[in-house]
Amino acid sequence: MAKIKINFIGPWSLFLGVRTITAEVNSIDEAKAYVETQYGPVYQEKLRSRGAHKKHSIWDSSNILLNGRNIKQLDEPALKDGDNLDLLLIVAGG
Amino acid sequence: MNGYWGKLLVADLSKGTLTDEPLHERYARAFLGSTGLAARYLFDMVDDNTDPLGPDNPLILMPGLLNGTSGPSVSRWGGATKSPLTGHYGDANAGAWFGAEFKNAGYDGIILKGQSAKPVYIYIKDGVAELKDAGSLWGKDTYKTQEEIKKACKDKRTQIACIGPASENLVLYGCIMSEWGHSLGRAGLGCVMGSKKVKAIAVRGKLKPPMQDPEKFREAAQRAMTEVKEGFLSQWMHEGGTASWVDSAISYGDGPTRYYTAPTMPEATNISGVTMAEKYETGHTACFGCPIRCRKVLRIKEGKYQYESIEGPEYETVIALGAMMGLALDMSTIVYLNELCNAYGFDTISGGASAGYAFYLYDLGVITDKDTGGLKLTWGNIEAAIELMHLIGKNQGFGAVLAGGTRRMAQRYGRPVGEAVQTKGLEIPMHDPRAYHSMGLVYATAPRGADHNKSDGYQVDGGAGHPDLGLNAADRWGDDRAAMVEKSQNFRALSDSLGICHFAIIPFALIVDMINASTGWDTDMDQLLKAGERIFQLQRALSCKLGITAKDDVMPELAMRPIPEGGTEGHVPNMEKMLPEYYALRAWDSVTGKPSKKRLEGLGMPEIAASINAK
Repeated sequence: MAKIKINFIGPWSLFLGVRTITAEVNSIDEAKAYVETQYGPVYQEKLRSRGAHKKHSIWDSSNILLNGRNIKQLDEPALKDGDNLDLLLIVAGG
Repeated sequence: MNGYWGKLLVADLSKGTLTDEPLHERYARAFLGSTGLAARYLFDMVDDNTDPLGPDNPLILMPGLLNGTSGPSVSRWGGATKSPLTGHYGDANAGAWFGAEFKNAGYDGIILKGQSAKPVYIYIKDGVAELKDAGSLWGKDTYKTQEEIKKACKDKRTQIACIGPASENLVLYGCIMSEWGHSLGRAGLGCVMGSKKVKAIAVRGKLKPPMQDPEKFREAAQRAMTEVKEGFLSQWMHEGGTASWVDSAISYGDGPTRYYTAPTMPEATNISGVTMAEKYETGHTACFGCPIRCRKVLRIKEGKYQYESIEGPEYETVIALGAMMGLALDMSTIVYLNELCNAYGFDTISGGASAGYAFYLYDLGVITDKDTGGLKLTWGNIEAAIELMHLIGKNQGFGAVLAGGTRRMAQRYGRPVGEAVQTKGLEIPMHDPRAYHSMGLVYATAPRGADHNKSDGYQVDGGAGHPDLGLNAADRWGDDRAAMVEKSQNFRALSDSLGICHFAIIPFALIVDMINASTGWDTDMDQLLKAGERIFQLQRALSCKLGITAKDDVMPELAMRPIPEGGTEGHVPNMEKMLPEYYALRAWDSVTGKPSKKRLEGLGMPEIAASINAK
């Protein structure tokens, strides 16, 4: 079990009301499950409060960086204590 | 002619006349509105001998085709001219309420020709236009100007597009401003307006152009409204605004820092949209008919510059006036800097980049206190940056050097032109091409010069893709991006001409329904995307007519140096791979850069092909 920091970058912190959490997980898949279980309902409620009813997954709407590297570009990324997992929205603008 | 009024207002400022001219119906059908239609008119009116600041250069302003309707987030209007900054094709578009009011005032556009001997403004109300004296407004900033015209009209709902002192003083990247900081920002359209001594255009209208099937339009618009409200991008834009991209930009290395020489500075988070929302936000404002409401209203009661109620700056401004000069700003100061630029009325991207380049040259020792009038341009010197903005706005002292943009600065100081981070003379916006390789191709090939809004490059490569266009999310450092860039450039040429905001994701089927219900056309998305391609190729052809060739489609060397630290991880776009692939897709000649005769004729523009002698 690795103790990692999960950082909700940019507007995620506004949607979810938190910038950083600590989680104990074994794998990236477990980190995903943790985020969706703990914060999915918070996100959906936020959307509902704005009159939007479509469901969105936090994880699938994010680029996930492990210690600054996109997990899509890493081979079977393993987690260790002190790792930083950043969730960034997949959309860009401005 | 449904969807249009069928007439343009032509202001001959040398003669002091205003006349109505019929809208060219074939042009409207082919180029739709806003920057597309304006470019088509411009093509016939300028050549490489036209002085951008002379009487022969027209300034053409047009609403988007859907402006003023009940469609969601369709407020974007635009304009085109021969740019005084770049010397070739220039255009810009903006949101807010001006476009809708303009359309409902009874015209499909206005062409400003000639030059007035004294300051004037043009007032259009319900189809009647007047030329008014603006002597008392000359010299006033863009906020005061709007306030005084509204007072004179006795109608607070009058919408005004105006210039500030920067454009009066012929700063080459002067803007046309409306409301609180909405601008036709790039390429110096305001400067051209200033050269004509036109201080403002004020519009008020309660008219509606004829519509083929109002009920069908209403149904499509309502469905589109629901889609936009539900949209993921809409939700994000409402919560954080464009400036909330700052935090992601830090991770990706997307925000140019210390004039493109350092990783995005983490201190930028102090002035991000997230910080605005958490600490300063009191509400939102919206453009006409937009459910997203992405603009933030702030209350700032700390720091040197305090505001009871003020609109927050956008992402581009936050980086251009901050990290670009290595400034670690607080919210109070970035808002103040933004307000300075808005009040003077100049482009924060070109202004910030020119100032950033001055800091860079000072750091190298190329310029000294002697050049800067005593200003010490050491990275992070906030007071010097503020003074530079004043000097640019006044076009005075060292500011007069910066007011010409970075390419002229490089020439003045005998520096390689690739050190000035611009393409075709227009400063690169605040999305670093080393963070998204596709943006290198976008900047190198955009008709007006570096332009982040003429494609969806960073959107698609950022992970969102574009399902309706068949574009899937991809590796941000991929160099196989020619097809994606071409397709999304065509789409953005289309959406800009229709007046659709980039943040409103409207399903294609509903865009088609709204257009057909408005105009009575029987179009489909393939035809509309073809129109997008036609517009893009027209704008390219116009650039070529005004002197652009293949050798101008280059990325500046300084922005192509790897930065190993930070979010770009040492990556640089492979332009040698992407450009030839892109040229093949576009059917551009590898030497002249011109679109081929066959392609232009295939897009229904044989006269354009003949005019530029396309092969």
